[in-house]
Amino acid sequence: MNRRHFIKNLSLVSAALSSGLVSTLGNATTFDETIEKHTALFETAVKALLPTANYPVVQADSLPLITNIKQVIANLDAPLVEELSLGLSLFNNASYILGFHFKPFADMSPEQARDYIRSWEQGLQAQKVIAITIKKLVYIGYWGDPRSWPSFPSFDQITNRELPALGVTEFKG
Amino acid sequence: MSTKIRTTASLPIIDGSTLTGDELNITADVIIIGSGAGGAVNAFELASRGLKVVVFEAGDFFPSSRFPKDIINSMATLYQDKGFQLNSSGDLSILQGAGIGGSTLVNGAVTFRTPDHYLKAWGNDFGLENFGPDKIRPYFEKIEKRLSIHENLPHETNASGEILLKASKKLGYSAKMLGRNTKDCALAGKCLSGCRYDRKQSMLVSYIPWAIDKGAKFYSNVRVNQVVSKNGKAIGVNAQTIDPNTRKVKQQITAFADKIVLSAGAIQSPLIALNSDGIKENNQVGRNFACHPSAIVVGEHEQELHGWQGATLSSYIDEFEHPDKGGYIIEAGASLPALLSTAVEPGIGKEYMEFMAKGVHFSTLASLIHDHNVGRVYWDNGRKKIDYDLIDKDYETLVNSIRTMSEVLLADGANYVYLPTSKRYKLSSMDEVNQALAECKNVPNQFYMTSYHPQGTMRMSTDSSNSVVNKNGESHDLKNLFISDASLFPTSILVNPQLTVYAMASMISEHVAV
Repeated sequence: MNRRHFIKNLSLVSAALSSGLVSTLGNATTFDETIEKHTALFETAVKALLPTANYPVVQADSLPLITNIKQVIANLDAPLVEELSLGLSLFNNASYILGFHFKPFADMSPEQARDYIRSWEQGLQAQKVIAITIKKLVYIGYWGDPRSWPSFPSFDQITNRELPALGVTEFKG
Repeated sequence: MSTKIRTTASLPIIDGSTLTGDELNITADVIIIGSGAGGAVNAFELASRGLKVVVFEAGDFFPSSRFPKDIINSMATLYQDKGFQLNSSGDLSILQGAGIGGSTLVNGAVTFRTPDHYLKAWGNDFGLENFGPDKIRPYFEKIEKRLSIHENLPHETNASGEILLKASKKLGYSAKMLGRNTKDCALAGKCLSGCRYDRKQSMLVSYIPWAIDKGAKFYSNVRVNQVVSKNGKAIGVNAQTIDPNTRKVKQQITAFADKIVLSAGAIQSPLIALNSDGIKENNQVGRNFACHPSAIVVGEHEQELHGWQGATLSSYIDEFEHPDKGGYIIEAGASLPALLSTAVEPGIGKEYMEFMAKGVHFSTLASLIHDHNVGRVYWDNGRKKIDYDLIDKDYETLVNSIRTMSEVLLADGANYVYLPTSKRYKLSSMDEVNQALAECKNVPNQFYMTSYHPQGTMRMSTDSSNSVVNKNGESHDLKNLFISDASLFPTSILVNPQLTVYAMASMISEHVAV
């Protein structure tokens, strides 16, 4: 796979996530083998990107975020999942050299992980795309879960209110 | 006395995946491909004229009682490619509905009559005088009545909409309430995830049941791959029945009809045409793709706004609508959590948490731009490809729309605005906004963009050298094949296109019926 093709296809993942409208449904088991190895990466990313402890929001560790993220990935086409997996591996292991961390991203502290993500956001196009993709997977995994919505007062009541459906509209001519 | 409600679950939609034996031998006067804005209207109009009409929809049938309760889960069921339909560069998400009712299930319910200057340009530049403002107006009026289209009432606004109206007054910009096809709107923020309450007048609660009442038959889970032709005339379609759970092919079908109406939308219609013989002689099928991309600016205010309350979309600025004045409009949207979480770039870690924790203080504006028809939809080794990148002129329009959204929010007291850029910008003045936008460049992934309105891939024109269909919607090359969806638009129309599609479908159906 050439570099341009890789960047473009990984960008596809990121753009879908940027719509804020991706699904958390899907058969995650289909892709488990492919993405299971990235569990530790996402656990670190969640701690770095969603430091919820000091904020009046639902705590990140109270939600099944890793499962949610895997389910989002499960909705991608198989070739995209493979390319995403390659990008995640690159992101996780390039830290041995980039910045001389001498350990994978998955083993970083939250602060180190944030600095590493920031450095990728300011890096080459491929690095930007990977960093944006990881961020959006984590955010959608959290905010896409209705159990996070109590952080938005009244939203849950409004969007889940029980009202009658009006049914088919009568033809008016 | 109460009237018994006729539910959408009671509609006799035929699940194509269950067909066996003789049920697979389908013939009709007219086969319509797609059940969205174009297909549903054609089905009703043609069945009303006594024609035997069959509609094939590739997606599944979801009665409104089965719509997911949130937009996240609705993506997996009601959206094309589960929401992962993207341009080749990967920086533009192109959203379309899927299933019986098409994109009308999940659109924002916003309706516009096609601005006159576009209709006049279509007449002058493409020979489409038959769609001139005076010709199409009666169709708008009829459809507006049928679909309860009205300007949002005062109680149907949202916080962002009130801010937009107040700020526009201060700035001297023309602004109005949006029109919507809703009836007794529940203001539950469900437009984009499917209205569970049947308040949005989608095709599922209107033209589809009306067409069924006139005898039209709707099949779900039947994916048409090809128009079949003989001696220069369309005579049928090759299709596959699809298992609704696995989405795997079950059976092949060939169905026959005197006329074929292709209404699968501006991305699927050209793909079907490209699979077919006799309708791509001038290499125009799939070209001239436009999609007026949308970007969002979020305002942070001192006061609590509860921006998720009210209409999904409420008011808009039309000051810059004409291409000579900018070529964009600004719509005020509900500030929904999933949207806020990824639409702008507030920073990471602490910065992000501080941003999301202030959700109750946010307003949200979205722009639509009049872009140019520079894209292309085609097959690439069996995979759908959508080539579309912003040309510099359209990039400039998008930047101007972001500038105006920032100006509007700051004019009504936003402390900060957050931009839809991949770099974090939290800005408190127009000087800062202008400086930030000057730093941006027209490169992939510069802005977070979404398109809701693909159009223009099966261009209509009297000049057969630069278009696919004639002014009646019929293929230049293949007689008895008609196109009736947003792919017809010779140019981007900037505004939300559903009413234009409905009206054009009504008009085209008159030619199909001849």
